[in-house]
Amino acid sequence: MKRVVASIVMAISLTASAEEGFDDDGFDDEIIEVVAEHATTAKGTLYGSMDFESHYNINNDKDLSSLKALVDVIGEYRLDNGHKIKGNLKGFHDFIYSSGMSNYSNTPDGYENEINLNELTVEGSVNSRLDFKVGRQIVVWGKSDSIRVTDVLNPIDNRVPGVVDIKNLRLGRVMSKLDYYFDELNLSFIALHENRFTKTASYGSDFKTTVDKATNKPDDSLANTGVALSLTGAFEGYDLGLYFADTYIDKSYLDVASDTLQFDNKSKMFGVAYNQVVDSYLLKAEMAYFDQIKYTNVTDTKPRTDILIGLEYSGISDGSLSYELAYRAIDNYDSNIYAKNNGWKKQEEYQQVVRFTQSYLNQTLDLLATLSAFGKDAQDGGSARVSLDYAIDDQVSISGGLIDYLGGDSPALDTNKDNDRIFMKVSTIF
Amino acid sequence: MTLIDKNGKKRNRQMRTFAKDIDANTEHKTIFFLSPSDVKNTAFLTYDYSADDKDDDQWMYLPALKKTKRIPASDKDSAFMGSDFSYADMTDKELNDYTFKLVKETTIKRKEGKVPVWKIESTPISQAVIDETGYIKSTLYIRKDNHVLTRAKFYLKKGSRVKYMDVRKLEKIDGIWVAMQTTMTTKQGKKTLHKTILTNSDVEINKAIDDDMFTVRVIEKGL
Repeated sequence: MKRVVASIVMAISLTASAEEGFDDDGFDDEIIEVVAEHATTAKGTLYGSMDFESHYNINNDKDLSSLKALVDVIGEYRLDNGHKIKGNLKGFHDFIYSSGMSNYSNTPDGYENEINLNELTVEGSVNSRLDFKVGRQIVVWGKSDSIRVTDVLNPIDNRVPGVVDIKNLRLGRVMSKLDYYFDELNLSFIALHENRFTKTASYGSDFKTTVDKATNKPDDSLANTGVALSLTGAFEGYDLGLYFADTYIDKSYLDVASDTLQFDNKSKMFGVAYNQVVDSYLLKAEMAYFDQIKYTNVTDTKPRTDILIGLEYSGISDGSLSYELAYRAIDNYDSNIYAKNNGWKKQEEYQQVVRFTQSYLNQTLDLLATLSAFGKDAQDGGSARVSLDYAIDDQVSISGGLIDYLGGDSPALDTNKDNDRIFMKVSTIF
Repeated sequence: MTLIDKNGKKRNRQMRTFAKDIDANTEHKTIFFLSPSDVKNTAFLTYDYSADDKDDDQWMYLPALKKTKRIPASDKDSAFMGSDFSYADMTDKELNDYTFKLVKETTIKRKEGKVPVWKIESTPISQAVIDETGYIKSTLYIRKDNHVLTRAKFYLKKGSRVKYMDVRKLEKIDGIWVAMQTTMTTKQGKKTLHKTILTNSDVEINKAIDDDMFTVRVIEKGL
């Protein structure tokens, strides 16, 4: 049995000398001399990005709606015993509110400055089969890419829907995770110590015109610690995941008497996710069952079932086209659920996402187009987004795009329809 | 891996790879990206099957998404991380997928002098192979002294483009010839569109590697 280990390291210095081939037949004579540096594994590394981002609203009277500087720093340090400490600090300052160019009458809470220690973990191996990871972290469940069904553990930043950079989308949560590996399987046990919830739009922002209500969130006490289990496997041609979570789900309801948004919406989730390759296609399927969900103005809890099917076609050179369809059904539906404080939820809801990606110029120019629509016939509203990202060099890239929020039959989505915007970003990595 | 565009602008990718022959028909491979920082910790895991009836298994770990994604491996004509090498170029060829014709016996000049080679034309046996690799035919230059593929011309099905592969440095390590530096140049006519230089260093062969190195667990944990 042959075994090969190869490390590949690049650094370049350029010289040229002619090399004449007898049978050149179009081959270059020029030799570009490369001086290889040996790969060294440093104990500690610090890297990340600095971005400058701007939004310009098209349809409402806000015009320039964001002038944001963002920093994203990742640090890794390997201890002598092989364990690794990793952290990710994110922060931003939005200059729009102090620039004098703003058309906003107030600064929405949390929109001008933010520091977010999104991840801080210690991880290592107990033995050849058992790993641990403790601290604020992100755990992604499921196989879908555009719609979340079983991916319930981490909240997201949804303050500007459809525009948040993917690397900033998921919010870390303090967990203790044990992973046991056997055959092609991975059994995970997770204790969810922190109860952190999705960041939604605040009063005074484009996506919320009503005053923020008081909130009541469960604390991070031992009694409120959640539990999650997963069994995942990667097999020849397909992957499979089974999931269970008993935790506060990422959905609030209004306690009318106190006019307070309550987040004590604890539910057990049973989920399954599967994907399979068939030629150039990746088939995706997910299902999640929530045993109880509280809604505003409804006395009893309701179970909900979410189902997703998806198809991704990769037969396009340097590109892909995917479609995902999610169906959500509330069991034992109560007509009171169809109300503003429940997000105008219907008994059955459909969400569809079409996503197209294409790279050009040796992946220096990337096109992304996404159409997201709710409703069986896409009648409820959604968004259409197109963006281009161009890497000027290894350090600097620029990107820009347009998002059109589509109005429709859903009042919750229809209120967003005038928030269409052009967005631009300059990013430097270090 | 150094990527050079038609204006001479360069981008560098630093990787560490591990590979193991599991049996006569199966190779497992992992590739970890070390730099630049926007691709750092991105990793590929490939189970490369030579058997005709089995597609390769391939997964990619995306650190920005904190997620491992399965990639359909039947279409290998896409560029590997923006380089002139395609995914097909990074995996072993199945000889039974091609017919071969000796064009002529000739020589090419290398640092050590003129090197005798066989110039061989390779033609895919089916449209499926063309669709998978993106090549309608290839011209291969095999050195007579060590039987190493030292040059190749790959004729792309799109845009009348040709890719020129040239092994610029060759080293014998533990009795096995290893391409230490390979260029791949994409041309349209005589015009160079893009070029990639793939340089190996610190190559070790016949070293014991645990099978666990070739698992989703490892690409998610990183080096």
